[in-house]
Amino acid sequence: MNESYIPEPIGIANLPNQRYKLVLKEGSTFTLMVAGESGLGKTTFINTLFQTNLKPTKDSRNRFNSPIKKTVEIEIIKAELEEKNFKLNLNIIDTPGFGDNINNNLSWNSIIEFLDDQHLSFMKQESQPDRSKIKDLRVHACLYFIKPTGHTLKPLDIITMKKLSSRVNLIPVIGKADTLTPNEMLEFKKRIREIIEIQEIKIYSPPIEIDDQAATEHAKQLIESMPFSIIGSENKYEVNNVQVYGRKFPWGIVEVENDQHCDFRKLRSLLLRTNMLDLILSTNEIHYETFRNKMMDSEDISEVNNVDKDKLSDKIVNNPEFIEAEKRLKRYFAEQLRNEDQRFKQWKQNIHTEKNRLNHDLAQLQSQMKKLEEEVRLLQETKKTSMV
Amino acid sequence: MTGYIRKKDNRRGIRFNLLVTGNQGTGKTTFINSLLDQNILPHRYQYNNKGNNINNINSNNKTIPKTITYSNISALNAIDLNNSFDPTNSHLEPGIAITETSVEIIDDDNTKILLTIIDTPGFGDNFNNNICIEEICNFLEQQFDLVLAEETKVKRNPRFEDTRIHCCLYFIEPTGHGLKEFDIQSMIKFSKFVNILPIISRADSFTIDELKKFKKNILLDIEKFKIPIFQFQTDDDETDIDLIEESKYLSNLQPFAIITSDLEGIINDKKTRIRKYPWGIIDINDTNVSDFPILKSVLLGSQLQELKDITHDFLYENYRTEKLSSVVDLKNNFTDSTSNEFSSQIPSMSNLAEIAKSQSMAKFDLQAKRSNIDELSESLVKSTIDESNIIKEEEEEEEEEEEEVDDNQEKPIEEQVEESDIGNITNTPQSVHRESLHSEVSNASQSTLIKPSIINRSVTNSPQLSINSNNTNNGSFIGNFQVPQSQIDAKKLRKISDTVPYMLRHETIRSKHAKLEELERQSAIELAKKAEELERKARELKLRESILRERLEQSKAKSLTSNSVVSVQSDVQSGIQSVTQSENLDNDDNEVKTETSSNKFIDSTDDN
Repeated sequence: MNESYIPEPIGIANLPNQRYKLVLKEGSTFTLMVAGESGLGKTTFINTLFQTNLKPTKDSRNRFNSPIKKTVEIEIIKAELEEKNFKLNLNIIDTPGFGDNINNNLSWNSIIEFLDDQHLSFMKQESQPDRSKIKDLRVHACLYFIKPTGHTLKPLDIITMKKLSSRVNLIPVIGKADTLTPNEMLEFKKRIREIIEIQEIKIYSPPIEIDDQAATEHAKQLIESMPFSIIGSENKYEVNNVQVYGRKFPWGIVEVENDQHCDFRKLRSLLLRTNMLDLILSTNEIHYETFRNKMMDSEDISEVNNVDKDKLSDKIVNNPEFIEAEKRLKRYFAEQLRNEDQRFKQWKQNIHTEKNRLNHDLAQLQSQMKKLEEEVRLLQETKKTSMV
Repeated sequence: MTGYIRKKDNRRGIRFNLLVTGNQGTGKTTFINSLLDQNILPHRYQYNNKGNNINNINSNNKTIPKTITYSNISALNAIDLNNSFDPTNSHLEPGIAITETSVEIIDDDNTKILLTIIDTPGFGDNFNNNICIEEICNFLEQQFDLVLAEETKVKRNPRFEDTRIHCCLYFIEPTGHGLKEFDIQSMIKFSKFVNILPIISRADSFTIDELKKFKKNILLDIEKFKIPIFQFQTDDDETDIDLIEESKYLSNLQPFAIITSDLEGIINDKKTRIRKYPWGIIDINDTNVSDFPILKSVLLGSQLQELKDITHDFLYENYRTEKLSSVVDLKNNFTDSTSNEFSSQIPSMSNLAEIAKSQSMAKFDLQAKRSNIDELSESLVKSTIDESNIIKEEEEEEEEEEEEVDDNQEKPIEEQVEESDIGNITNTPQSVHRESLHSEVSNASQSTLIKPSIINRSVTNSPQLSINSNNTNNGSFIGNFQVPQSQIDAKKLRKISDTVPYMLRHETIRSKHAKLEELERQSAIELAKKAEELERKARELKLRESILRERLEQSKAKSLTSNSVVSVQSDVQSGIQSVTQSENLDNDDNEVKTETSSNKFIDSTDDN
């Protein structure tokens, strides 16, 4: 027969293309959380990353309208980005007020609560009969902004990162990196890496695929430069006849997309270009699964109300305000107790001394009585004798 | 005369105590190194990374700075953090330490400045940073107390070192937003004891526009929250236009935005300090980008004396009046006379100062009245206490406890006092010291006799107050000095002995003491009550006894029949029975019982 006949392929190889079309039509959702103390350039970074003014920087004049906030808030910004006909539903979650107070103890709680709440609500929606309209706000990646002190991490940073790392893909970044010279940055990064390793903070690391040489190389490079140093800017300046995002100082222009100046490009590549899918999948496969397991283990899932109650009581137990109040009450109670105890002891002692005193008096009276009796007897005798 | 003083000053050097505080990583250490143009202070973890750097640093410098750690409250040694990087423990709260480093600077014109730098490692690193503010406030107050104790001594120490902090540089984090709650609170609290200069550190993180905006925000915050920062001002009658211009320029510049560096370099053939970035090199002495050279000249030159003067004439004087007023007003007689004298002195001062004084005085009067009542009741209690032996014993026990606490507190202060004074103390017998608690009130009155004259003198000294109180902003400045009632109450001077008139205590210890005293007073009152009851009972018993005796005599005289004797006997018996019963019953019942029994007694005598 005709040897050169090539049979028409059945078409299974076309499946990826079908998938591609579907995905292209559906679009995708990506949820990014930025956490860290205020003034580290979180908002600017978001705007720089997506090259649009997603989130306006706070108007400084509005600051006085509300009193100093004592709580950490959760702010959600939704946006739809479109690039080459592909739609991306973007959710940005900001945590203003984190680390702004004098007492920052437990200020990480509202962030953690938010993360858990998203997992829980997704779980509940999944178990509903109609699952077509699932709202998914599970956080796929969390950027934790570190203050460029050049020293080390604060205990607050460490605790918060620890808590975050068990729930979400954590990516530590150093904000405002333009205040550290290259040498300082090197030292600083080294120390942070050491702490992350020893404190067992599980930060996100891109998967290394052995069969893809280039990807492996790239992933290794990314891992090496963790934590990423970030400079953000919404303004463009001309450097070497090219318009680039940068910051203009009297002593020069810092270029955001210059690898010599900062790790912005690496981070962007990690977040958007190469590892976005991995971030989304690992959230589903690792973090959501662990959460689900935990919930399944601890509670009978059918009793959703019960879980809710638990959650509520948990919230109350962990609320810093309540804890404060509880402590205060306890202290007051202990003091009161001590005072009362002391009073009681004193009282007891008084009774005791009083008893002794009365006993003494009694003895005296008795001896006096004896004397009197004696005298009476004598008198009687004298009377008798006189009678006689 | 002034020339003489200056000469003397030059020989001994001008003391200047500088407190640098602010969150970690805001460039405090680098600032000090830049200020002195020597890398004197080691950075956090510097030794750890570069091995034997200690030796190198010390051999390079003629002046070897000694760092003294003052206080340290935490499980982890905060000062240790400076030397070793320990990732395994870095999740623990560092607490806060206060360290002191002294250096001598010889100026161009041969004036010697003895610069003492106080650093506060751990500031702002804890979860709850209230402790940082408290500790530093305590430290600042302690320095004032030391001077106050020295001033009021009979024999002053000629070599006494003034450790009051003349200036506090508060390093604001370069957030670009504004001040944080922590910054505001710390600056307000510190400002009672020290001149505050807010500093924007690491100004190289701002572009020119951003810096302008940030400065504006900070100034807004300062105004809004009424933070009393140091004002560059001249007297109204100042004629030197240059000086007026300078202070205007400086006050417009505030808060200073500085860039500092450890790296030395050469720019335009001039040796300077630089920061080297891949995108450019910054000269920290370039006034176009950094206020560092201006701040340097302000601190070590033009405003040095001004800072010292305000610390002494205004801040310290205010503190002193507050402290001493609370002592003076212990006796009603004295409040009247002294406050009168005060008001007669006041017209010489500026209006604002007058208002502040009168307001604070009024507060003190109120407070004094309250404390008078306390004092009276206390003395009453004490007089009743003496009646009962048993109670006195208990008192002494408690006193001993208190005495122990006292000894612990006084030691550190006494150690700083010169040897000669300790000699004085040993002359007075120990018992005086012990009795001082009992005779406290009378002692207070004795020493207050001398006080009005001292205070008056101090008031006349302080017209320089007006230097600072012309500005409208200073209304708030003064306003902040009015501490809440309870705080003043706690600050009431308590212990007054002959040799060391004012032994002032650390705030926290004082509050503990107050608590202890409260307990003591409560129990004393109760004991006194009990004692009274016992007394009354004893009296009744005596009365009964005397009645018995009387009856006996009657019976003797009339030589009664055996029947009546028996009745007497039964009466006595019933009395005893009632007493034995009363042992087991409450006091009130007891009273009734004894009363009734005595009534019975009287009845029976009537029958007879």
